[in-house]
Amino acid sequence: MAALECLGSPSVAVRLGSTTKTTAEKWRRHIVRQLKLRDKSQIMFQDVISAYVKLLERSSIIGYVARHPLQRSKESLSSEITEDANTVRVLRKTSGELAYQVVELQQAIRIKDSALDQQRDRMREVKRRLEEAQAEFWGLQARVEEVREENSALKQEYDAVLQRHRGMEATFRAEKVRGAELLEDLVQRKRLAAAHMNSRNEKRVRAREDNLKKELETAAMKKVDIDVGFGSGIPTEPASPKNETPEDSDRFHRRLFRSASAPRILDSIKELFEKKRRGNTVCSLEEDIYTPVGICLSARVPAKALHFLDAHELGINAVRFSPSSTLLATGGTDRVIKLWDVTAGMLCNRCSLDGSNEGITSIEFDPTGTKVLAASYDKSALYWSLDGCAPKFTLTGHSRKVTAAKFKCSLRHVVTGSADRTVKVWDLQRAACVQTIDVLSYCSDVVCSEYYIISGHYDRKIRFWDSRAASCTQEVPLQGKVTSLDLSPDHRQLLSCSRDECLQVVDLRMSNSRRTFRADGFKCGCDSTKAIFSPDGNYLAAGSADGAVYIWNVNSGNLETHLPGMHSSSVNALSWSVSGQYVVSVDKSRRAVLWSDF
Amino acid sequence: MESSLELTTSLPGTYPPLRSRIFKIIVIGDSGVGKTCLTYRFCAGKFPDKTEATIGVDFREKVIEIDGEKIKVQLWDTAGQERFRKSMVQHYYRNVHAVVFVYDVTNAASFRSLPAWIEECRQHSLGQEVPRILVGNKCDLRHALQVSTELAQKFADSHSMPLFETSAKNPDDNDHVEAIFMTVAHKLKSQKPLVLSQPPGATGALPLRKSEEEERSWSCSC
Repeated sequence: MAALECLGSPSVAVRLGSTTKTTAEKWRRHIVRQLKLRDKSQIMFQDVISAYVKLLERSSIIGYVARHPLQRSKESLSSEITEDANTVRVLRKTSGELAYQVVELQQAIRIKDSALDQQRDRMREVKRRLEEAQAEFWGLQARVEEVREENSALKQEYDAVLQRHRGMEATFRAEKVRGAELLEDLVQRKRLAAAHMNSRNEKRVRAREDNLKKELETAAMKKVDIDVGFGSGIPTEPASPKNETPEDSDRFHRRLFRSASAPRILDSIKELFEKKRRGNTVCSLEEDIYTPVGICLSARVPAKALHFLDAHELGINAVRFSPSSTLLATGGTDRVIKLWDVTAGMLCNRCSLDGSNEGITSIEFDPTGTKVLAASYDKSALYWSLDGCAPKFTLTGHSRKVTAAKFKCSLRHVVTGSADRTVKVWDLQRAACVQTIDVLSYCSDVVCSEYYIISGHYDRKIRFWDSRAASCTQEVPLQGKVTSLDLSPDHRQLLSCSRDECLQVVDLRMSNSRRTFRADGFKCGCDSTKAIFSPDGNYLAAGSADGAVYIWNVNSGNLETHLPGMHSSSVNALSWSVSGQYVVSVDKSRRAVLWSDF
Repeated sequence: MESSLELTTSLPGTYPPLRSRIFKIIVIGDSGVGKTCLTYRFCAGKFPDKTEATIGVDFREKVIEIDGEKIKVQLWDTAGQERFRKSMVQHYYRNVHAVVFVYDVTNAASFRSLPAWIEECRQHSLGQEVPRILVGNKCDLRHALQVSTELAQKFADSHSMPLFETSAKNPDDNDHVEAIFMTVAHKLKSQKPLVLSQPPGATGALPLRKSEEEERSWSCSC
């Protein structure tokens, strides 16, 4: 510290003397040197000074420490007093606070009490509402019960209506059939009337001619100039003896014959007209007659086998759904026709129709589903009414096996095709053959529409027959033996299956338009393999020798699907239900398979 | 209806005077062209309230007088719908004296099917001497006209038939229905000698014989 003071003074001196630079510089250096010297000599005192300062500090601390206890006792007392006073203050404050808290709590209790009251009220309210709800619940429960009863009543009503509907449908079908018969009757009568009208006209013409002839004769006898008579007298005369050909005398004989039966015919015509005058609605009724009874809007292509079983003791040759789609008939080599109920995707045996002495070759239902027609190896066709299981008729007359038996549209007639190269038409009311058509070759299948019969043959031809004239109107040659025929539901297309492993669809309106359907692997299993149309006419189905079912799309011409794996031997026949839902296929080794689309 | 009533009453009775001749005229054409209405208009003189599809054939007769001679015109109102006629077509064409083809001027399809009807006529071996006429019906419906007169006339010319356009409902519209049939009757009457100079076997006896053969084969086949 001293050194610093010393240093300060020379620096002031240096500043003062700075006017003369060199001297001042000299001086300054000198002074610095002097100062440094002094510092060197005086450095020992610096330690002493610092030690002294330390001592001074320590003594002052000790002195303070020695004085303090006294002060403290005094201070502690006063501080205790103040502390107590503080405590008292604090306590007072605390008690005040506590009192305040008590007040507050009481307040809270009151609030809570009121809240509790409120909650009680609410609880009561809720209870009351609960009761109300309960009451409502019971009310609703009662209502539910009521509605349920109502529903069951409605259900019953619905069932009744359904039942009635079914009944009406049945009557409707029957009426339709009757309508068809009536129409046929009417047309028949009209035909008679037309024939009669023609014969009457002829008679009159002839009578006139005779008259003229007589007049001519008398005129000739009168020796009048005939040339004049021709020229001017009778201009209309040339209804002349020239016309009297042998045919005319022939006609004359017939006329005599006819006149015997005339009154009856007249009566029937009269009746006919009277009927017409009264009714006058016959025609409108007729408009709908030819629409098929069961209409299928769209058939579903089967994809899955729902059920299969060994249905017969020997191979199955024929299968057919009834028009109601719930009844199925199968016929086999074991001489039995079995009827099956199709329920819940299962086939349940209902009963058997016995009566055939040999295997069954084909089965058909009539549109009402109550009559069954079957063809048999025992040279006969059998006709059952499902009311009784005994054969109602056996139509015998063929000399070899009957391969097909079909109902005609009128249902009064049945057409059968046989291996004995004939097709016969039978009247069911008389149970007698009314017509035999010589068809030139082994007939493997036959289908018929109102006025024509179509037969398929082993000589690889399909023949069309006019059932009124018994004449062949057309022949369609194929590449193989015809195994089966089927008509589309609208009777516009004919399906044939032949041994050249292909199906052909012939348009009946333009018979030169034919389409062929084939598929890889499709092979005709036997000479009576059946191919069918779907009930909507959009698909074809046929079974193959390898046990698969093939389905083609008629419109696109392509194979729609093929269903292998269920049959182990060749599939003989199929049937597609009218509802379009089920297909049943049957094979040579006794198995029947029910197919559906789900 | 009335004509058939007349027919039934006249049937069992004695024949009319032998002098009166009968002209059998068949009226053919598509269903719904108005064959029934035309014939009814001619025979009963009015338009029927309602008609239904003809089944088979309806007969209508009217006695007219031409040059002092009473002539009975027998109209065969045939069914247009194939299913109501197919079994009796042969009866239509037997010993027919004239053919009336009818089409509907408001229905082009009925006009287009005329060649088929003419073909049917030809198939039933009708001689060229049998007069044919073409009648376009319903010409009162001018707003719905589909077959022009020129077209129809061309067609008629190509088949050498006279064309008439008329309306059974409102016959004052054009050719009067009665006038048409009277024309045919006149033609028939004046042409009659020509027809009769042909042996009747050409038109009548031959089909008759055939049908008889059919009947025989039918009955002995079973």
